[in-house]
Amino acid sequence: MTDTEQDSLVVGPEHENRFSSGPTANFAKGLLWLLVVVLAAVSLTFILSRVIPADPARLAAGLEAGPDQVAQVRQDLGLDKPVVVQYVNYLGGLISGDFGDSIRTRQPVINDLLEALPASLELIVVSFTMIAGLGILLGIIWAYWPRGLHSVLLRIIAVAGSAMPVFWVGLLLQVGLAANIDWLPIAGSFNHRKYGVDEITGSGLLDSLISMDTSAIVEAIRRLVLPITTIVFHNIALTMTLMRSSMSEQLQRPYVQAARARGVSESKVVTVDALRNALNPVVTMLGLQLGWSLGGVVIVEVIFSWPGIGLYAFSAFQAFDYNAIMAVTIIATASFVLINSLVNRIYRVLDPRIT
Amino acid sequence: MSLLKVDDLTVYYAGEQSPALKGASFELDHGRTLGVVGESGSGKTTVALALGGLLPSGAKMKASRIELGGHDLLDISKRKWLHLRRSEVAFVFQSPVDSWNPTRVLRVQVKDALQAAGRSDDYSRLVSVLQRVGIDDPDRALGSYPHQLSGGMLQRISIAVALVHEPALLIADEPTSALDSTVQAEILEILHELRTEANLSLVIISHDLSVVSRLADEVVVMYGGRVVERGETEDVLGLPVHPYTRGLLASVPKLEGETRTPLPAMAFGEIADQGCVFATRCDLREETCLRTDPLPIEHKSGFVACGPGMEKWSKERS
Repeated sequence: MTDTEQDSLVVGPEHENRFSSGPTANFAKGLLWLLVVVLAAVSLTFILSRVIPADPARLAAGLEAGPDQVAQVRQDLGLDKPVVVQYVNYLGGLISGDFGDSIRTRQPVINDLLEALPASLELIVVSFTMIAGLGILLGIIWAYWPRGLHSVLLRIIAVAGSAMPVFWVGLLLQVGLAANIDWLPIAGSFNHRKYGVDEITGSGLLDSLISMDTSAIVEAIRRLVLPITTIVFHNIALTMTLMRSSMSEQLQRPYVQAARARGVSESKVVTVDALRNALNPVVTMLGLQLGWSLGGVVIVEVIFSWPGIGLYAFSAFQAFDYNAIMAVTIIATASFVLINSLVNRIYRVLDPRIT
Repeated sequence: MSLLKVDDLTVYYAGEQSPALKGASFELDHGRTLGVVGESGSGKTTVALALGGLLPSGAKMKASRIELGGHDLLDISKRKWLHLRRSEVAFVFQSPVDSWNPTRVLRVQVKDALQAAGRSDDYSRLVSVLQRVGIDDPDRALGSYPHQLSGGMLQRISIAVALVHEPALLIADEPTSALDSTVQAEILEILHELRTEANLSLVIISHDLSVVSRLADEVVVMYGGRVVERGETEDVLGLPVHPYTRGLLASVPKLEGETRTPLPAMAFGEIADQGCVFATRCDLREETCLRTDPLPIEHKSGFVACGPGMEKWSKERS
């Protein structure tokens, strides 16, 4: 070997060094970024909630209340203080996990959120797993066998799914499968009390699985079918089509041909070599989708009366429950930023060239 | 007995009207090296891919005969191709960087190949082959990602992996074109040595005449998907007959003496449907060249597909 070639190996260690010092620095940077974005979101929602021409004290006091009572409520809620003081108080509360009280439910917002979170997480986790798993699988199949009946079918699903708005899909499913024929429950989530299942996690699916009661499990799944189908149908198109185009691009690449030439089996070439490279854009997209999902479930939860964060947010908006609105906004923002920084981490695992 | 026998090989790519390769015939004996020369689009790479069953899906391959080491390669299943690529035929491609998956450590990719061939236990043998081709620290090299190594090192690894199966035939498609000239020379040296050391049968595909003249025992000159001239290297490159081969040789830059004569540039899309494929660029063109396919004329050890060229050649000799 020549000296020049030996030198080129030097790239290696240098690269490793960046790796070893990277994670901590990156993590700190990510955390700082998260704080900045959340603070910005908090400030913005706070300003908006105070600018909007609606009077929370009036709403909280109720229709029957007279001016004195409203003034009393205003004082109780601290809304009579200068906006800057309100802002500082609010931030102070946030640090100790206090989002204030809901004027609608009259309990701390944090309690409401913790109660609603499991139902939303159930929807998000199940639908996201299906979108990711099924979308990637179908995308690979579509890329590998681009012709045939299945490709026509997948194209129809992709176009219809992304073209039809979520609420429309949800309503169609309700009309088609629940309202006229009694195949599936039209709305509502799993009722723990009715099936005598202990509320451990708050998720109907998990709790029924823990109880190992078959009829409860079936019921929990039946409850999930329509909302999950609605979310998956609408969102899988993007994953599927992106996976297909990314995969067919990778399958044209010389390294795929070289691996085939080395006698590597077709299944390994596709599912190990090509897939790993093809996943990058799909992971980005899925990360964004997951980030949005907390905000995205609002419509579905409203359509299916699913008692999660989305439905809570919707009710809060209607009642101008400003503390609740702000809390949901902050959590949605924070989860978006957090998920995105996690996705950046996955990149580095998928592609070693990204540092 | 010859190792490789190809008769009248024709390849159409999906959706293409004209063939990428038409009626190519050549053969190669054990331990010999065949050079395939021609410009881009001449069908060189198609020859390589066809011999490994690596043509893209939708491509059609016809031939009156293709045999490799006693195996009939016509109409065989994908499974059989896979088996052949794991035992009989190995490849080295043009771009060493693109020949490896950028996201996986070389070691696992190399192991995939060994495992495919059912030779996982050959890892230690591979290490010695790597040393043989000039990788001083195989462990370190294999522990790297492709982007951490130079093109020359990656091409050495490609060669070593190709050879570890001890294939009957190694097909090297422009193995040095993507490398800088000093590394080019080293890679050629390695191939040259292995040829004798390992009694390697080699098909070397290149647009670079110096590469071919250095390694090949026999040469096939391709143009527009046809083989226009074939024979022993010294005959074809020493006393070329076909006007294309002559042009190709005349256009090679020389250090001293007369300046090179460039080949008349190829007019866009000028591969005729009928007649000689080279007719539009040929200075010996006759009326018939534009109408009828030139028949191969036997000449020395091979053939030339050009009547006027043959006449000119005879006249010059007499």
